[in-house]
Amino acid sequence: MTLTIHVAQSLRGVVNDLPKTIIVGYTERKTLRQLAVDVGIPPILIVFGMINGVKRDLNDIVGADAEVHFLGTMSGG
Amino acid sequence: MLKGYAGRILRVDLTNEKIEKQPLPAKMAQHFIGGRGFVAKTLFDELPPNIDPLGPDNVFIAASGPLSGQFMPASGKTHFGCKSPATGGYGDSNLGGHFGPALKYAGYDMMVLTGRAASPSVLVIEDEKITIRPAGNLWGMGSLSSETRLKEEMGEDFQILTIGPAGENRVAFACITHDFGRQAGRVGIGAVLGSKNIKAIAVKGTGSIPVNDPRALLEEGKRAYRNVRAKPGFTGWTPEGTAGITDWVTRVGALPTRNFQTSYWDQHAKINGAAILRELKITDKGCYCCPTPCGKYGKAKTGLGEVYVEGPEFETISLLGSNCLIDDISEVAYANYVCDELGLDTISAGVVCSWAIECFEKGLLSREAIGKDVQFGDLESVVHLLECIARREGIGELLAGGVKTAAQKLGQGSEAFAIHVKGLEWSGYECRNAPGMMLAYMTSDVGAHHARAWVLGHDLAGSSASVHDLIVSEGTSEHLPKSEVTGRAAKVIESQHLRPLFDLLGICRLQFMELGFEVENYERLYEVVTGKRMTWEQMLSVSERVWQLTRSVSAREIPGFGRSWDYPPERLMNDPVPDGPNQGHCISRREVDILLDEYYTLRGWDANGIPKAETLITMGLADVAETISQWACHETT
Amino acid sequence: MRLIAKSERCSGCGACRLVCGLTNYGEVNPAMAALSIHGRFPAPGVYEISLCDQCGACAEACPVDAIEAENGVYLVNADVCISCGECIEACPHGVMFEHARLDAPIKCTLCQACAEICPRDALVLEDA
Repeated sequence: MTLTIHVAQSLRGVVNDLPKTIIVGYTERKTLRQLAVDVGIPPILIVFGMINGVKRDLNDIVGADAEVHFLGTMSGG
Repeated sequence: MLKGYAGRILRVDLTNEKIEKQPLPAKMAQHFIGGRGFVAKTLFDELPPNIDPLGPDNVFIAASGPLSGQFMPASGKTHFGCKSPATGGYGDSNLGGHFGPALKYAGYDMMVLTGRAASPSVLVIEDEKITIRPAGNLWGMGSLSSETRLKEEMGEDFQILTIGPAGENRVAFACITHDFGRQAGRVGIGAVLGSKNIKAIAVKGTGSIPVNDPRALLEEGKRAYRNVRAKPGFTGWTPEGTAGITDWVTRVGALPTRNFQTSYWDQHAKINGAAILRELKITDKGCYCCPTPCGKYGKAKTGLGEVYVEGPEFETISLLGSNCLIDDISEVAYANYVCDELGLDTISAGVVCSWAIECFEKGLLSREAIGKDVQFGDLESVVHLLECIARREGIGELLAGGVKTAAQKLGQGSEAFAIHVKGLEWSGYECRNAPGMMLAYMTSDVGAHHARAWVLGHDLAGSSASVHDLIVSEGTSEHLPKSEVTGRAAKVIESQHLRPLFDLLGICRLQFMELGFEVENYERLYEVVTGKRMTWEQMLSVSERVWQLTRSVSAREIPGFGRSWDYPPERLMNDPVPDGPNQGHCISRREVDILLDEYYTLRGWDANGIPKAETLITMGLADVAETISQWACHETT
Repeated sequence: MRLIAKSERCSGCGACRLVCGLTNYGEVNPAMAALSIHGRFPAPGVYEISLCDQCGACAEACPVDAIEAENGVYLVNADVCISCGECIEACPHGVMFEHARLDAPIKCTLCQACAEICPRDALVLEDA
């Protein structure tokens, strides 16, 4: 299955050499946390991940052909 | 003619009821851009020496920026300024909503109030018509109730600022409320209005902002909205707003808990963004022209009653929630409502309440002094304290000056756990193991506030060099290694120029910070409205200039100001975090000095943290350089 | 084509009003907008959008026939208008507006800019 992973600027500004978008192929299902590790993002930096535009827990499994977004640190208001 | 700006400053001398409308100097716009830049410049130039922040000589400023009110995402910000009741030094406070644009449509980029009205009053600005009218029975009424009354009377076209009883009673952390739930929260700005006998300011503007190229603005604005909508974070961010970060802040061990005794709380899921969706939310409520409304307006049902409230935002969840051990989102929302109606900054209020409760636990404050038993995790305790504070009744008289003053008066070791810097209570991130963020709080120009710099990500990235997360087992948390203390200052300084730049421009930084809206967009929008070209780097230079100026204002206003004012509270220096991801960590006094030494050197300040004359000259502040040696405590070697 | 309000999606941002004035008058001025947003606060805590549904009541009220329909959209002819204000009074939705700097009243031209821009999809176009 193919996954498209978008990495927000809030992560790319903190971890060097992360691309904006990564397209990866997988044969087995992974969690958001595992995907983050695979592409070089320390999960501790991810404020939340989204699967197909919906905020999800990092331990949630990503389905086939999903679009994943990883957002970095933010401050509240 | 200046384009992009309304082109005028409105000056109101409340003592003599004198109104003056002055042209906005082009040089001021060029050198300070707007908003916070105008605030800093005006405070430096116009604050009389040695004045009481709650006396008639304080200067109250409200300013927008060149991008305020323009057709672009999130152009609704207003920046306020004064000599701070909380710290005695430079004070400013930022407000979302619709006020700044309304003031600009009325024809004014900035409003400066001096003096004091003879009796409680409402200032009404309707285009050219400026009136000061009696507040009548609004005085004594809550902020939200006052706004309701004024909207009914004046019509929905007026944008309104109100203070509550806390501002009227000059509580050092009184806020200004606007649009039924937005606040200019920090530094006691509401107390300054209260000290001037101003209950409310109502603005209606039917004019146009002159812009250089309206057709280009139309196209750029449309493009900007399309751009933001297409951003990956657009749909995921809005539903929970800032509350959406609660779980993550807990995970990284940065959640103030039990008066900052610790930084992890396993009840966070009861007060997070998902809890708001589940129990409270009615509407996504936004600021002017904002495509990602972060306001969550809803209804909270508690044992103390049902209320409508905008919130809680993350900061309120943090300081009135985990910091007071309130483990019910509806109860946090209720406490939020009480603060809004009384006109209290939720951040400072949360810290003051948690300090008072800890004092009671330790036997430093008695039941008689407080009026009842109080405890963590009890909404009634918090509400009782808030009511006393706002009305300066009973224990409120001690607490109304803020946690620094209260601890100084109470003594008995209570200063060690009064969580503030410079007299401004600490906002929502505990950072005993985040030295960059610690430095950010220490050197923030208004006191302990996160708005100026945000580097928690860099702190974490430094401590988690490995990409592999620790495996988390249910019920425990990841343990983070101790962060490096050296090499932090550069990122803090960069952030201290970047984040406040949005306060100069008069817009919200969220689309940039959280969604990655590109800087080229801001450059283009600035050019189409002003007709002038300014690169992002040039704008950052202005922001840097303003930083040096705000530091200079504090150095002048606060006797003995210097390094000692930048230290964090003892609890954060001496007490290791007892549990959670940062268990065992704290920052030492020696490490604090390392952070400050590095920072001061990069800033071009002396060892006491005072800007050197040559630094000020380089920053285009020769007028400040000329006089700084007269009033600042330079290092003596 | 007609413009529909989905008020339950509105966040009160007012970008629609700003783009309306900018599109139809070339000015950065929401007081020149042809629709309005009402905040119902503190309770029930929602926004309501008022907009023109091209009902024609304004045209009927106009004593000099300055308002005529063109492809289902009622438009004000500023050259014919005598600024009597009858149309403003007649509008059942309160979405005919006057402005001190304009001789003719402000009325929705169905330019679609508001629907194009609304980031909340609170203003949508549907086939009539």
